[in-house]
Amino acid sequence: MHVAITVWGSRISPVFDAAQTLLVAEIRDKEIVDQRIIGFQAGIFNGLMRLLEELDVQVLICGALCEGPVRSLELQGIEVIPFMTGEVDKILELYAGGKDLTECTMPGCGRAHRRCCRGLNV
Amino acid sequence: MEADKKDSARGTKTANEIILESISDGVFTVDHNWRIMSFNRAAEEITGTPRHEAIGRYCWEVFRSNMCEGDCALKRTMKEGKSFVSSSTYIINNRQQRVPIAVSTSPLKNEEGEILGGVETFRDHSLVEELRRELTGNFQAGDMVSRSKAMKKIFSILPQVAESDSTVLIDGETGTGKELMASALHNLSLRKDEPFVAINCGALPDNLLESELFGYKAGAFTGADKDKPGLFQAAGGGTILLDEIGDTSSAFQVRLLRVLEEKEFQPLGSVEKIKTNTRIIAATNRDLGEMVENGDFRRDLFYRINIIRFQLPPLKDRMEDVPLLVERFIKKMNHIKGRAVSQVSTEAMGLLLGHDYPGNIRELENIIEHGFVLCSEREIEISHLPAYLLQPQVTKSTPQSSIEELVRLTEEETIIAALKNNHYNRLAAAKELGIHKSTLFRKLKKYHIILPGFDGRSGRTD
Repeated sequence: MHVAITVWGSRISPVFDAAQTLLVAEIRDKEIVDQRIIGFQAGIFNGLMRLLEELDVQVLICGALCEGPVRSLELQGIEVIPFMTGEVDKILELYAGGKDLTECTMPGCGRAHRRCCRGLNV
Repeated sequence: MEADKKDSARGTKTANEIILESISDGVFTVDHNWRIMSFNRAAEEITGTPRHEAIGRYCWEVFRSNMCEGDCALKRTMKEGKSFVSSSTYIINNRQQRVPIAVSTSPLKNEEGEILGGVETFRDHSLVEELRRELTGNFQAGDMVSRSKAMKKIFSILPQVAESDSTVLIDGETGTGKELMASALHNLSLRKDEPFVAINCGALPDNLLESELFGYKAGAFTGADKDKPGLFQAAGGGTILLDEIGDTSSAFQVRLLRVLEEKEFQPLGSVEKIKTNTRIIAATNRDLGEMVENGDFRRDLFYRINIIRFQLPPLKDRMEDVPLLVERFIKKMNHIKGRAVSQVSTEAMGLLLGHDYPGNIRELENIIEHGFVLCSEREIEISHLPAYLLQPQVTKSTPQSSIEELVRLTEEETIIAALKNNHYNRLAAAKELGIHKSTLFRKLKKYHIILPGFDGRSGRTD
């Protein structure tokens, strides 16, 4: 399977809308077998959807992202894991190993892992 | 004495904390490693992050602004040791909503003047943005600006049209801002939190266009190895812009008409229909009315999409907008390229005002970008502008344009002559010209022919 992560240096890009780089990793049998970096423009949303489709990406791990685009990506069949933060390598390793990502969730968004903040009343 | 001083310092500190807690501006401080050291109550409310979770974390993890990655105000403050006031930006709160804010930053210094880190104050500008939109709505809508009468008229009704949910047809020459207008309609509507997607219908052959819009099922054709949802599904309850609708085939128009009427579509290879709630905005640079008359566009679809129609005037018909647009593009490019160009010189502006912009606003934007590449000063001069602006405009003398211009002039003159022959009786003039009355009205509009107050039938005046 292919997993895409919006990256900023060695970290996850804090805000999806401002991200310019995508790391696409191929995971096989809980191992990361390939990684590549691709430039993209998050602002052109259907361009991004087309790119994810071309790259056969099934999962997108990213920073803060509004609800509308999350729904669109999910409709496209892409699992979205928003509001993640931290070192990309660590998150990728945790994800590939099927481990819990709660510790990588942005502050204030921790209670609903993988569905950060949705419907959360603060 | 010493004890008194300590008590007084403690008292001041407590008072400062109380003040910080009671103000409505969010305030946080960071150390040199960008870790949050303090976080007030308003900051908790605006970001949705409780203080105990924010303290000790990197500021970008908590603040989540679109500036964090690039043009971070706090970074500039820490680097230059200077304060920056009121940059507008937005953050994404923990309810997955975009919150417009104004940000100010200052270095955080101790009594000895040593820099300990930075202070960021931010204000929720949701209400201000809303008010600003209402105030400037007169000459601004979404990312569009204009002071022209025709555009102001469009802007004034845009909010009502946006809320109406009706299908909208936008026509205008290439580069007049059709996509910006569609996006403004979306952003002013109740669907603004849903996706806005755009597709250029003219760029794709029928089959590809249908699969892009409606999606397909696995096995629908060779290579379709899994289900693919189309843009209608991706847009969900949002808006879809069908650009260059005039360039679609008749077969596609039939399918689209069905979607508009039945509010459902069928992905390729599927036997089931999917309901859609997507708002459709169509755009074209062609005269659909004329295409209908000539049988090149389906009349039924034309009437179905022509519920509300916006005609975007070409830039040459609203030259008063050139200075406003130039200012806008300079601001935009300063931001993108990190430059500090302030304006174009008076001479350069004169040249820009003398051009007729066949490529419309897009051409003007490209001219300013060209100026940015060559300009190393604060002002864009004539020498920084593309050379073709300095040459006499040759477009009209190229063979193709001369024929087009000749046809245009001849048609215009013939219409005026027919109207005069018939004492401005439109029906009689149309008969003399051998065209339908509605075609005559369209051409009157196209050539901006102004009719006198009387209509030539009874000698009465309007």
